[in-house]
Amino acid sequence: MDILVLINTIITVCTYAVALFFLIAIVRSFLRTKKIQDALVYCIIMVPFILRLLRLK
Amino acid sequence: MTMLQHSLAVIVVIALVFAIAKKCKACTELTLLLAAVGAIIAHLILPMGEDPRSALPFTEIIRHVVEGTFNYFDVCLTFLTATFFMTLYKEAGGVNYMVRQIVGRFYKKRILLLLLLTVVMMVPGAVTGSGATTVLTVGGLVGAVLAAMGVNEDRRVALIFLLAAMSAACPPINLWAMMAAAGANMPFVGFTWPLLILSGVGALVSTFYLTRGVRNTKPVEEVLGNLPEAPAGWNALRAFVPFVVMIVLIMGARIFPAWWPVFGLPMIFMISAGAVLICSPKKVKVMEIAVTTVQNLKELVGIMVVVGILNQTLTLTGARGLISLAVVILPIWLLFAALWLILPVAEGVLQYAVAPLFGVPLIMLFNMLGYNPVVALSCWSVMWPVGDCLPPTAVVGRAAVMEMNYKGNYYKGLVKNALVPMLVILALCTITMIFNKPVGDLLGV
Repeated sequence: MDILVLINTIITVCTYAVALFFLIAIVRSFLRTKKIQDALVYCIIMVPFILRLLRLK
Repeated sequence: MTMLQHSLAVIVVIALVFAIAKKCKACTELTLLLAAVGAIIAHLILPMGEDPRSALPFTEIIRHVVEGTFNYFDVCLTFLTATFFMTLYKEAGGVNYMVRQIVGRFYKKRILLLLLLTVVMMVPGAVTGSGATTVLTVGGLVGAVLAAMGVNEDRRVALIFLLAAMSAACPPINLWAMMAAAGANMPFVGFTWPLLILSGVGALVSTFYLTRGVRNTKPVEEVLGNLPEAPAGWNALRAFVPFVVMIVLIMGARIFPAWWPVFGLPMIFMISAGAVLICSPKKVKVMEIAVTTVQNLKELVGIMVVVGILNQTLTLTGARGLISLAVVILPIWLLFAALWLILPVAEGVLQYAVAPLFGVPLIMLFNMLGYNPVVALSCWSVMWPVGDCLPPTAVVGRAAVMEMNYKGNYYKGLVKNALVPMLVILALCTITMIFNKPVGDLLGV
């Protein structure tokens, strides 16, 4: 069971890495867009990703 | 002002803000966000009657908004990773390889070819839960094969839309069912068979109805000549390994729950995406594909984040309770008679927001009346995507038009041709909903 706990810990870390990966993609999309409405939507989408990575939520 | 009147006033404010924002050409995501902000402001300003709630400081408002953004965070992550996996597979040339193989081997066997094309269309939506993803990943290719088979433009675009809608309803990922079940604290278990049967029948009816009277007369070489080439190096093993990895990871948790690690769907899709990278004979730009994925899913992920905020706000202000109450006291015969129309129309207006807003109280009502909520929710979750071609949003319909470069009239072409299969799907779901108990007993859910 210890191995399972270790694997689950690794998976948790990987899930944070996935969140970071998509946050970078969202930021890049935000920087590329020229439409204000789209930029606002990207900002809203970023919120949960940033808070998850900062472990605030 | 009583609490009932207060909540009613909040709903009126939401409707007003929504209408004004739409009139000002704001996108659906911002419209819903503004409606949520309007609801909070109305909640702060309007009196709450004899039973006032505790004061709502600014920090609490922020907390509620932030809590709301997390309501569907897991669903968003699943959605992003699944679409990333499918886009990676497409960019690596896997989809081209699959379609060319199917056409090369089965072009002369019309029924088998149509069945396989239906399966190809169903897979991306089934694993991502998004009809738009289906259109963007395989819609163009399948459309090209249909054109080569002699299916006319109007029918072709209608079929691509309908298959995309049914693929979004197909299990294992049905976002409407997942969001509504999550909102009603109901485990997402037992949905596979009802969703698979309803969406599968819907897809088959659409395929064979819209390709009726068509004969494959062109030589297969000419058809293959019109399809994009797959990169050299692809073979059956490489093409299937990513899907085998995905299926093993999903099934492993069901077969060996005691000692299988908890991967979660996002990680399963990322590991499958890793398998695509290993199997692909062509190098792909991973971050560029991630950016494309985010850009393609901006509307859908944005809506899910904003719907979470709106949901939290509705709960805070008592408006959600009022909506639930309004749904729960409706006569059941009215629901059976009208849901086939209400659900697709509401989907056209609210998109995924419709699932937590209408789905949750409906689940509670059906559960309270002793009906089978799993079968009923499955029926609604197949009816909702049918409305994805309806205004004002028409996300999947518009995606199909863009991807197929369709020049005809949207309503007289796409919607008119899709109407008969749509009505068949809605009738099938309504009948299943009415006979939910025997269907539930038959399927063991």
